[in-house]
Amino acid sequence: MTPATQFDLALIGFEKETADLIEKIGDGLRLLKLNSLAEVEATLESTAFSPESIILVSHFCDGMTHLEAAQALVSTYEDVHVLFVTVDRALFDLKTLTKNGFQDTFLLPMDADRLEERIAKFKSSRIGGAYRKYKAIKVVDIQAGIKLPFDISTFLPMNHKYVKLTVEGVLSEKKFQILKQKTVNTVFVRTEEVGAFYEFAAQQMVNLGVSGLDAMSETERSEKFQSNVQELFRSFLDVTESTDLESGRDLLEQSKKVIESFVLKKTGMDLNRSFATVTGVRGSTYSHAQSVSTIASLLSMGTGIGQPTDLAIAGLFHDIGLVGTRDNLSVFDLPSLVGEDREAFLNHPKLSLKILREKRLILAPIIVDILEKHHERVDGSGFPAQLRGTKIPPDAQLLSYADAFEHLSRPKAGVASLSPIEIHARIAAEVGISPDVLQRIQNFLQKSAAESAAS
Amino acid sequence: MFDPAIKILVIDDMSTMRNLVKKRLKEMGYVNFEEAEDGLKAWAKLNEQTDIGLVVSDWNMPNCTGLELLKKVRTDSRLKQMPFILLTAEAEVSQVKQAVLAGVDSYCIKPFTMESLKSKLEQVYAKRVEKPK
Repeated sequence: MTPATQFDLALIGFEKETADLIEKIGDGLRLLKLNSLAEVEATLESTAFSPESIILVSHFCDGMTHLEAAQALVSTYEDVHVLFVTVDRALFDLKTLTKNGFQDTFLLPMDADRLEERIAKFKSSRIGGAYRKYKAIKVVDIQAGIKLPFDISTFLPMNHKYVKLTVEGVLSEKKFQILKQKTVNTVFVRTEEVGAFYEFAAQQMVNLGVSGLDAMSETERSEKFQSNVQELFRSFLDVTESTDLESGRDLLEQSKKVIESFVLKKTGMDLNRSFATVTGVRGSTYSHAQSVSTIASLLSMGTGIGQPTDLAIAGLFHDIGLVGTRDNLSVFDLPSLVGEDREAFLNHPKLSLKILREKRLILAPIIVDILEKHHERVDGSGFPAQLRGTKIPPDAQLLSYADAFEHLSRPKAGVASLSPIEIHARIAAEVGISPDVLQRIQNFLQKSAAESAAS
Repeated sequence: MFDPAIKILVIDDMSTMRNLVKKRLKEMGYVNFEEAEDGLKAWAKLNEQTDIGLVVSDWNMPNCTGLELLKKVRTDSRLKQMPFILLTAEAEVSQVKQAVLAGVDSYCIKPFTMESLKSKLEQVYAKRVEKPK
């Protein structure tokens, strides 16, 4: 049978609001919307899609689950991309979604930018036109009248447009004041200029740690530095709590890149390259190790415990000894672990160091110390050496905190997110960190949370 | 290839999938189909219609799963040699083992392609020709 119509983009089982938004992004593409089993069945019989087309599936299709839809669509259209979109975390079980045929998955609002990018790229390839991708950034130390190595834009949701705020990298005093008055914390940078933004933000952090570079007093410098650290840390708090369309993974990515750039400037160590050399794989963008590295480094900056660069490096390598165990094991799983998994988990601090030695990566003694002792507890119930009290360096306790924080703040399908304060309370109760270290972290978290609420 | 006139029982609780399987089988040249939406109804049809020669069944269905139906078929003196293919999204090794232990002839992972379903049918036919049960 020769199909009567050919489509580029299909939306199956979407609520009106989301469908309208996607329709706007895909404006110009031949669009098909289906909301019932009968409509899907009729489509499978008679409709064709252009190669590489996109079928987006959500879970409001009458008489058919999203998993059944994926199975039928993927079995019918072999050269089409079938993608899952939802706002419901409980449905976001990657293993099940992938098993049933979804080639990519989007949890809104966190993945809104990624979804928009996917559709916009496809649209650009199908109907031409310039495709420009913007990345959300937090306003870190951007001032009026200073020439930035990148331009910034703001997003107008009603018109779905980006409007440039700077002229050749300079933000006028008037526009700066508008941003300030409207307490806009997120602006956008074109993707090709994001590297320049990371460099700039990292250099700001480095400069703030050096006296005499400008006319700033030490108090001003310290306040500014703290404010920048809190700004970056807020990405984690934003994700822990609910996110809006401008938050989410892009902002986590921003914090990670700034810290990577910061470490490179301060120590000459390329974290990504070192990780790839040691593990043989490129770290996935949102990997646990990268997040822990960033959280630990920011906590070090924010609390004054240890050196931010040491914590960033230790954070990156703290779990490489967890080879051969199931994914995403954390200290919270320890009580229920048995057999080989338990043994491997208890041995991983030592194994991490062994792997680093074998790969001939020379680390400062304090970093080795942090890696070795990051699962010790002040009451002596930790591992591998059951050290007590002051024998566990505060740096190692900070890494332990960052590790637990990352595990507890990561969104999990079907589990309600904990607030940063709930996370802190759980870590305080279960991870065996000294009251002094906990208090310093709590002070920092409270300041960051207050800033976050104020924005 | 099996005789194109062979009657094939297609079992899936979702009509879309039944239609899709039939469509693929038609493209391979088969013309004679019977349908059921769960294992219980399929069991009734297998007992009523003695000319069914091949079963292509989904695994996860209400009332009676594909695996439960397979076990019934293999313990029935008349039906125990029925060629039986399971279609499922469950690709875990433990589940494949269960199906093999229960006597499945072949196992096709959903979502499937025309080629994968065709090759499974050919494998089952070849095994039957080599080693008639």
